[in-house]
Amino acid sequence: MCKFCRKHAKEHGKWYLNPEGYTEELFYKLNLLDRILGRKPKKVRDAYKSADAAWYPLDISKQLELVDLASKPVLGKLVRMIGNHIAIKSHSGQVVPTEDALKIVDLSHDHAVYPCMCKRLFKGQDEYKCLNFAPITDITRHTPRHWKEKRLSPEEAKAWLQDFSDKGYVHAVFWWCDMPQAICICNCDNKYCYASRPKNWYDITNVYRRAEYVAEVDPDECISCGKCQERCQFGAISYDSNGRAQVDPRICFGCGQCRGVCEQNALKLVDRNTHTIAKKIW
Amino acid sequence: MVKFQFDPTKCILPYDAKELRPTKCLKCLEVCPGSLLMFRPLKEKDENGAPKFFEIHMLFKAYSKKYCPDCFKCVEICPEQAIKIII
Repeated sequence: MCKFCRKHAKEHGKWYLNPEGYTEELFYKLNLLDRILGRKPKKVRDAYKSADAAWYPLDISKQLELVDLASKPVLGKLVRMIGNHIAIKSHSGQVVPTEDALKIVDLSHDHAVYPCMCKRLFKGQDEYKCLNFAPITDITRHTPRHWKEKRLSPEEAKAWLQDFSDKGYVHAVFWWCDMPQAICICNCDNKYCYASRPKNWYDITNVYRRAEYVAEVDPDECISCGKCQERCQFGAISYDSNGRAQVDPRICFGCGQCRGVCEQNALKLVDRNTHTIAKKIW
Repeated sequence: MVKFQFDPTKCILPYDAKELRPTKCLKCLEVCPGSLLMFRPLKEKDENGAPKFFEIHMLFKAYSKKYCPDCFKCVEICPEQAIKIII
């Protein structure tokens, strides 16, 4: 079991399935805005209206440039250690399969979608891909000049998530500043994602953690159509000498999106904690 | 390391208050196959604290040799010839 689940899941099994992680009480208890802004605001909404937080989505290049230091031979090791330490406490994410993402919609309330910051910055396009929920949506509602949003009912949010799942985007639940307060479900395209790139390129592992699951193939059912390999954003699927698909558990993130294209239902997700190889790889 | 040079005097990216970001022309971002280019604000701000202008910036520089395919698409597509790539 991952350390977050051990600490925060209680009887719910996984940390993000604990209803306590979606309450406003927790948000205030953790003093999240105090940590974001470095001071205690009288009212949450007032704090968010201030300029220092408002323009943050447009200028994250400085933080991302620090990631580059991880490429240095000696300094890089230190940067990775610090990066991983900060990432656990600050803005980080974990991949979740679609069924868990739908459960998160049931646990949270006040849903709204926002343009993906990654695609905005790296592609110059606004694609509504990030599903936020209260209390973040309560704050952003009062700061319309900084955020574009589309409000969704829980049913709409679920349909919207399912639609992204059909397109093969990877769901990831993100928290902000401290666990276990979940704030959004991103639907990631790794090509633009600035959470997955530091992980995959620079080995800053805690920025974007793997799911509690790992994919497995039933070789008897596989018809070697190649669709799952095409779908996998992480490059975890290859073909053996018999032409059957195989998943590398050391690479698989457990998003489960490969299952959606398998007409034979040859792919399934198993618990990462019970997998001999994957259980230590997060 | 790939050297990316952007000339902000040739390419001016104003803030679009309606879209909450620069919208013109960002063609270089669209064509970059490695998604290494991004926009970032310049220091000048308006009365609301919003950045007035932006520049194009290359990220993940240390690994740019690995991830930048040297395709020069960004250089070719820039209508203002504001981008230079030095390998």
